[in-house]
Formats: sequence, C-alpha cells, structure tokens
Amino acid sequence: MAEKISSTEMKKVRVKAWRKRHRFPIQSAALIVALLAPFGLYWGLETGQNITAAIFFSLLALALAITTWIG
Amino acid sequence: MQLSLLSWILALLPVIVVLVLMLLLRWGGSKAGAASWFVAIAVAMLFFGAGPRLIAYAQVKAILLSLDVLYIIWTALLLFHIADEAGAVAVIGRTLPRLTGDRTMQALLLGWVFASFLQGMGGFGVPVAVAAPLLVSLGFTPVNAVIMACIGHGWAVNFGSMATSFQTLLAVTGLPGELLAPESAILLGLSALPCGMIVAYVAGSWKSVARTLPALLVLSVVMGVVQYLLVTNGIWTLGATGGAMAGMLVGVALTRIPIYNRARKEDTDLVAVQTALEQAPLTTRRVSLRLAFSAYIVLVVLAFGLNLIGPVERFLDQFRYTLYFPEISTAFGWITPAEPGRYISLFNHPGAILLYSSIIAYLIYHRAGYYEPGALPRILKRVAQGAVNSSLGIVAMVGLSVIMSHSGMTNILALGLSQVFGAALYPLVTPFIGALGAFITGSNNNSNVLFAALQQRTAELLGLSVSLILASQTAGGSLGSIMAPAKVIVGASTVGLGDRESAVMGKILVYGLIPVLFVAVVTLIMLWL
Repeated sequence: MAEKISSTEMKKVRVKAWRKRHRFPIQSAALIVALLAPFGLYWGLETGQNITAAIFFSLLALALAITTWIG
Repeated sequence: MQLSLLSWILALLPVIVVLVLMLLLRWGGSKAGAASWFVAIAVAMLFFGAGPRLIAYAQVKAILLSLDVLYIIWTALLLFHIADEAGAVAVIGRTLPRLTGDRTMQALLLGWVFASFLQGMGGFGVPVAVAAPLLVSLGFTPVNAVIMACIGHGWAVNFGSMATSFQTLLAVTGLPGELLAPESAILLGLSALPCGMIVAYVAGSWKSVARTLPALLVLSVVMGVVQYLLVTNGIWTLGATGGAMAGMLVGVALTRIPIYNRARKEDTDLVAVQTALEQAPLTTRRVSLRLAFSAYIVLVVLAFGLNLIGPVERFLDQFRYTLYFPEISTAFGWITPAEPGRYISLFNHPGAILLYSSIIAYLIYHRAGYYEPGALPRILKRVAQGAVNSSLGIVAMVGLSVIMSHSGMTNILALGLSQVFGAALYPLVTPFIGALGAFITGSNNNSNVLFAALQQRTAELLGLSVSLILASQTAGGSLGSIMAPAKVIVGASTVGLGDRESAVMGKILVYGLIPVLFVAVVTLIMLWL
C-alpha cells in the first residue's frame, strides 16, 4: 500500500515537473490558437459553414482547457 | 430572462467563480479566467437562452477587444525591457531617490503622479506595467508596488488614454460633452485625493499619510483643477495628461521642502536597499540619466505629436481593422444590435506609439553602446515570458465578459442592483455599478458601453440629475478598472509575481473600493446641494 501511494505521489510529482518544464511552449501554442481560431470561427459563421465554425470553436475551447490544465 | 434572485445569482456566478478561484484557491489569472470562461458559457446557454451562434459571435468580438488590449501590453513590456536591458530603469531607480530621500514622497511621485501621467498617455495596463517595476527598483515589495501603481492612477482613467472612455460615454448617451464634463471632472478630481492617500498609506503607514497630507492636498488640487479647466474648455482628450503633468512639476518642487526631502528613520530598510543599489556596479558602462529617460521622453513626444497633429493622425488612422457583426439575440429576447467590432487602428493605436517608441529607444541605447551582445534576443524572450501567461488570462476574461453582456447577464446584474436600492439610495449605488462593469470587463470604456444607457434611463425614471448620475457611472468605472483582474495580472507579471496575482488581488479589492465609496458619498452630497 505504502509503495502504491509512493508510486502515485511520484507520478504526481513527475507530471507537475513536466508541466513546469513545458509550461511556456504549451501556453504560447494555446495563446496562438486562442487568438487565431476566432477568425476561422468568424469566417465559418459568415460563409454558413457551420462544421468549420464548430471545429474552430472546439480549437478555441481546447486552448482554454489546456490553459486551465497547465496552470 | 426576468430579474429574480435566482437569475441575479446565476448572472453573478462567473464573477464569483473568478473571485473564488483567484482569492481562495490562489489560482493564477489565466487558469481562473479560462475555467470561468467555461462557467460563463454553461450559465449563458443553460439559463439565459444563449445559442451557439451567440456564443460564437461574442467570442469573436471578444478577441478584437483582447487584441486591442494585448497590442498595448506587449509593446509596453517591450519598451520596458528595452530600457531595462540598457540599464536605464535601474539608473532612473537610482536617480529618483536623489530628488528626495522621503520614501512616501517617492511613492507618491512614481505610483500616483507618474502613473497618472502614463495613464493619460498610454492607457490600459501601461501605468502599472511601467510604474510598478520602477517602484520595485526603489525597494518597495512587488505586491505593494503593484497596489500603488494600480490605485494611484484610478482617478485618471476616464480622461486618460486620450479620453476614450469619456468619448464612449458621450456616444452611448447622445449627450454633449459640455454637459457631462464638469461633474465628471469634479468627481474624478476629488477622487485623486483618496487615491493618493492610499498610495501614501501602502508606502508607509497612517503616520506617512498624516505627514504628507499637505503635499497630498496641494497635488490633488493642482491635478484636479488643471484637469477640470482642460475638460470644461473642450480639451478632454488631454484632461488627465495635463493634470498629471502639472502634478509632476509641483511634485518635484515639493521635494525641495525640507520635510519632504530627507529620508526618515522608518525608511531605514529602504535606504539600505537604495545604498546597495547605488553601490552595486550596474553595468560595465556608464549610463547617462538623460539617455536613461530617453525611452519615456520619446514616448511622450510621439504620443502628443501623433495625437495632436491632425494630418498625421488622419493619415495613420486610415489603416483600421475590424469585423462586422449581425444582430444576435437570446431565446429570452435580449438583443445585441448589429454593429462593427472594436476598431484597431494599426498605426495610430497606443500600442503602435509604444512600438515606435520602443524601436527608437532601442536604436538610441544601441548607438550609445548600452547593450551587450545578444541583447535583442534576451529582450524578446523576456517580453514573451512576461506576456504569454497574462495574454491568456486577458483572452479568457474578456471572452467571459462579452458572453455575459451578450446573453443579458450583465444587464440582470445592474437591474438587480438598481431595483434593490431605489431612488433614495441609487446615487450611492451608481459608482459601484460603473465599478462592477469595469471590474468584469477590465475597462472603463466597456463599463460605459454596458451601463451608461441603463444608468441614464434609471436616472430619468427616478427623477435624478442625469449628468451627475452619468458622471458617477464613469467615475466608478474609472476607479473600478484599476481592480480588474486583467489589469492586476499585467502589473503582477511585470514585477515577477507571475502566478501570485491572487496575493495582490485581495488587497487591491479592499483599497480600490475606498475611492469608489468616496465617489458614492460625494454624488449623494452633490444631489442634495
């Protein structure tokens, strides 16, 4: 049990360290997507291509979900 | 949706989530903002009848607003790091204490008067992004530096940024500037005093406030009166700038008075920091004070030049970008009319002026030999590291606020506040509604867009002075914008507080509400007179 907890803790620490190490490039990518996706969304809405609009909105939501996760 | 206690609480939910995540769980601004963005969408769709089309268009509008703000933030950080890498910021930090050894006077000059001047010239985020690091270099803690830079310029927001917020107030209400300017200038001029007193208190203690009270009164009167004279004579675009410039001149003169010139016993720690700064070899080169200030002098010259020379302004203003949006409505009938999004003037934007200043300042420092090899990549890396996290927070927060306004949530919040308080107490509530709008949207301008028409109609219905209620709205918006999470994030990122915005946020909310309460009381008194 003790080993199991220790292993879980280790995994948490590893994930935390990974997040810290990759935070800046991931946030940068999320920002680029969050800034550009709305223009694709607008184009999709204006041309009546709802699926395209939905894809771009999903990309935006994904960027903000990643922002919440990466901290 | 009809106003009820449940609908009001639901409308407030995204704001509550932001506050709880930032204040209680100590989440950073970008993380809390992104999480609250999802909450706002869920509440808007489930309870306020917002469809996917409304959410989508609202988000596109939000990106235009965000880009408008990010243009300034990235270029303000660029200008700061260009000066910092050259050693200019440290030189200014070492020189200002020589004007006066009095810690509170230093804080007042930088965090109150200089920050207000920067608000007049730059706008969103610039005063905090520039003044807070300078205060840190003087030995103030990063948290206190951000608080002072934020609170200090609150009175200057409405007539700052070339009076864009005031222009919006005129556009939304359809009333002339001659009617709205005098009472707006009185409320904001008077609120300069509590803003300065808070800076003095944060810099020292109640003793510091008492000792500098004469200076606070003199500077408040000078800044308030100059602003009043400018805006009541039709020059509202330079109201805050002119007031703060007069304040700087008088402030420097005040430091010649012995009581405001010497370091005090309680400033021992700071003196030690300053002595260490002075003794520490800054760089291998000698940085001249005149050249150290050149980045900011270039900024002032360009800001005045580009805004006051008509043909130049008109030429640069040709290159504007926006998108056009159709009318959108919720299932409950809340309609947002067809309108263009935020215009971004690519070459005459405050961000563009900061960018030109940055390029010129870089060339000046480079020519003077102040940069070591590899300076430019280092500057750009620091700018990116400082701005990416903040930018994500702003994108999420602005998205949240636009979704709230387009789904009628913001309107429900304002209606609830006004109905609860009624005619007798409404004047007390007015600046808080303005402050709420600015807190949520991060902008005095947006607060006026959201609430000015509502405040105007309510004042008419209640038989109150429309011009005074609108002055109170925009004064509340001016003072509320300094508490906006987006602005706090900017300040925190420039002084290395990165993920610890929450440490600043709680204190700014406490201090920031004092000037708003002051405006509320003055509004009530002015209605009685």
